[in-house]
Amino acid sequence: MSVLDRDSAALLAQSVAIYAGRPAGSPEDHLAALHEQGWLAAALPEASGGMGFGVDAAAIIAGGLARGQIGEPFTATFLAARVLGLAAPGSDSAKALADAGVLSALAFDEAGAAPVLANADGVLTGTKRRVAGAEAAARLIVTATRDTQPVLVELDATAPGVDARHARRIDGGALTEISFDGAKGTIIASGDIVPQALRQALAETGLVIAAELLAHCDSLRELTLEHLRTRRQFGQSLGGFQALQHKAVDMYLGALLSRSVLDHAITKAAEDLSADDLDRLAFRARARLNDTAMQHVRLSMQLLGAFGTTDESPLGPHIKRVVRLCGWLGTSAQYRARYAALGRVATRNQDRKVTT
Amino acid sequence: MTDTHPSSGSNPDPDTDWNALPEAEFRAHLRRFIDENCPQHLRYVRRRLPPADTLPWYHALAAAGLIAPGWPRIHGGMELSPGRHLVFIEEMDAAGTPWLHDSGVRNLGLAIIAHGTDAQKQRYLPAIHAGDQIWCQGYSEPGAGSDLASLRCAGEIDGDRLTINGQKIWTTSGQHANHMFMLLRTERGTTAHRGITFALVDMATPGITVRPIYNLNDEADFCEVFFDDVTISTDCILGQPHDGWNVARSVLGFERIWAGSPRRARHALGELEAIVAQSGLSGDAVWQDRLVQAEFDTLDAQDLYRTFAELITSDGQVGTEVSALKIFSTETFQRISEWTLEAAGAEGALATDLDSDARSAQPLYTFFESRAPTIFSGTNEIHRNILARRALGLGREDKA
Repeated sequence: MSVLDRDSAALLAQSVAIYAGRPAGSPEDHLAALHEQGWLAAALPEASGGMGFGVDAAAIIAGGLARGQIGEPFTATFLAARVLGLAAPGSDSAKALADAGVLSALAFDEAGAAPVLANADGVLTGTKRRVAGAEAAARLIVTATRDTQPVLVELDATAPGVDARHARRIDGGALTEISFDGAKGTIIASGDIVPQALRQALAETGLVIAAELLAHCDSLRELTLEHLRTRRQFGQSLGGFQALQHKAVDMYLGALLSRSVLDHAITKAAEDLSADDLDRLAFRARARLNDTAMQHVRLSMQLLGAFGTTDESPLGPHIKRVVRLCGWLGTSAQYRARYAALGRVATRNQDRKVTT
Repeated sequence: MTDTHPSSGSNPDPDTDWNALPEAEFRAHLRRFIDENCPQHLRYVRRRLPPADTLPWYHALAAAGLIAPGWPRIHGGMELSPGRHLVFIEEMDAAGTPWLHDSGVRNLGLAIIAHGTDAQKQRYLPAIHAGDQIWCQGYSEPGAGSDLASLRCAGEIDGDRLTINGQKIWTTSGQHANHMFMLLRTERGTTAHRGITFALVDMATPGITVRPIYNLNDEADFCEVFFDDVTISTDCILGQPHDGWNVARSVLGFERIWAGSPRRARHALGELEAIVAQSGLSGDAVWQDRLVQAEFDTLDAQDLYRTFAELITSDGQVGTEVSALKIFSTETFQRISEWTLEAAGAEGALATDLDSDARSAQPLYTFFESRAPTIFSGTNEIHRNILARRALGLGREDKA
C-alpha cells in the first residue's frame, strides 16, 4: 500500500473535483467513469490490476465525490476491494473489478440473523444483513464459517439460491438483506486472514466514510454561511446577529477539529499499527465525524429556517447522505462501546496517573 | 543540591542545538535533568508555591540553559521549535515540576527581544534569565477585561518621567512579583488601540499597593494592584510611546497555542477515571461511555493542538483560527471536570486539601479550576466573535 506525496494528493484531489463538478450523468456513465479513472479498483494491489493506493487516496476520492453528491458506489466498493486485496488478491472478483469495473459488495454483517455457513464446495446457507452497494453489484463477497474455520466466499449476485431484499435508504441506495439457500460460491480465502482482513478493511472504510462526512460538513456549512451573509432580517444581515454568529462558529470549530482528527488518523493509518491501534484511531475519528456531521445537519437546518426543512433546499441531499453515513458500520455510541472494549489508553502513562 | 550548581552534567553551551537532538534523546535528557535537579518536595504540588520555594529549581534550569525554551540562543534561550517546545512542556508536566512565576520568560522576554532598546535588553533579559526579576502582567482592569482596549489606567508622560495612576486587576503572581509589565492609557481621545503605552515597572516604586484576591479554591492566585502617583523613567517604556498595543499583540502567538494546550483536559481525564473507579461506577455503562467521550475529546484536542503547533511560524505567529483550539480545549476541560464532580456524588462537596499531591483526585478543586480558562486569554465568547468576523466573514455586510 503506497502513501501519496503532497503533489500526488493535490493532483488526485483536483481530478476528482473536476469530475465531481460536472453535471451528473446516468448511474451507468458514472460507474464507467469511476472505472476509467482507476478509482474503483484503486485500493487493490497493483498485482491484481489496482493502484495499490491506501486510505489516504480513498479518503480524497470519497471526499471529492461527496462534494458532488455522487459518493455511491465508491465507498461500498472500497470496503469490498480492500477485503479482496488483503485476503484474496488473486480472486476472480478482484480481477473483474480491476479489469472491467464489475462491482462487488461485501456481505459481512449478520446482525442477529442465521449465521452464514459454507461447506467444502463453497455452498452457502444463512442470512446477511445491511449489505451496502448490493443493488448495483454483480458479485457478492461473503464472510462465512466452514466447520469452525472462517472463510471468504465469492459468488454471482444472481446465482441460484441467492435472495436479495433491498430496503430503500433515504439517500437513494439500499440496505440489503441477502439469504443464501444452497447458493454455490467459491472459497477464496480461509483461516485467520479472513477476520484480520475484515477488521482492517472495516477500520479503513470507517476513515473513508469519515472523509465523506467531512465533505458534507463543508458543503452544509458553506450553504449556511451563504444564507447568513445574504438573508436580511430586522434591517441587517443574519450574520450580524451574535447568537447566530456563535452557532456558525460552532460549526466551523467542529469541522476544524474533525479535519485535524481525520488527517492525523489517516496519516497514522499508513504506519505499521497494531490492529487495536488502527481500530482506536478509526473509532475515534468516526465518532468525531459522526457527531460533527449531525451537528452540521441540526444547525444548518435551524439557521436556514423553514426552508431548511424542505426537500427543495440544497441542504437536502447532503443531509440525507449524512444520516446514511452516520449509521454505516457504526454510530458514535457503538464506536465508543467498541473502543471501551479495546481499552482506553490516554491515561496509560504512569507519570500522569491520578490517584484517589 | 545547591542553588547555582546543578548536579547534572547538562550542557549550558549556547551552541547546543536542541532541535537537532532526536526527540527520544531530548526527552531522556530532560527526564534525567529533572530527576537530578528537581527535588521531590517540589513535585506534584497542587498549590502555586511562592518564588522563594521554587527559585532553586529555577536557578538549576537557568544554569543548565533550560529556563527559556522560546528565547533565541544568543540570549541564553533554547530556541526550541514550536513542536519541540511542546515536548519540553509535556516532560515538565509529566514529572510534576512546579509552576514557576516565569511570566518574564514566557511573555515579556520575547517582547523585549523584539521591541527593546539595547540598554533594555541588557537591563532586563539577564535578570529575567537568572530569576532575579519576577514579573507579573498588568493588562486587565476592573472596567477592561475582554474589552481590553478600553483600559483607563493612566500614564502621563512629562519629559523623561512617566507617572501612573489607576488600577490593575486579575494580576497573576502580583503579590510575589518584583516587576510588572503593563499597559497604560497615555493618550485620550484617540481610537481605542492607539494611545496605549507598554511600560516596565519596578514594584518597589513608591505608590504601589497590592491586594491578593482569593478564588473559590481559597488560593490567592491573582491580585489587584493600585497605582497612586507612581513615577518612573521613560526608559521603562517598551517600544514607542502610545504604540503599546502592537507591542503586546506581537508576542501573543505561542501564548495562544499555550492557552489551548490540552494538558489540563488530560489531567482532568485521569481524575475522572480515578473518581469513577472510587465511586464504584466502573461497571456502569453510562460512566464507561462518558469516560470514552472524555478520552476522545482529550485526544482530539491533542490532534488539533499538534495541527496548530505545526502551523505556527518560527517567530511565533499563528492565524486567527487558533482561537478554535483555545475554545475546544478549555470547554473540554470544563465538561470533564463537571462529570468528575457528578461522579463524586455527595463527596464532591468536600473541601479541597490544598496540600494534597497534585496527582490525587480533588473533583471540586478541578471544577473550580476549570472555570477560569474559558475566561482568561480572551473569553470564549470573544474568541467566537473574532472567528465569526475574521474566519467566517460574518457581520461585515452591513458595515461595507
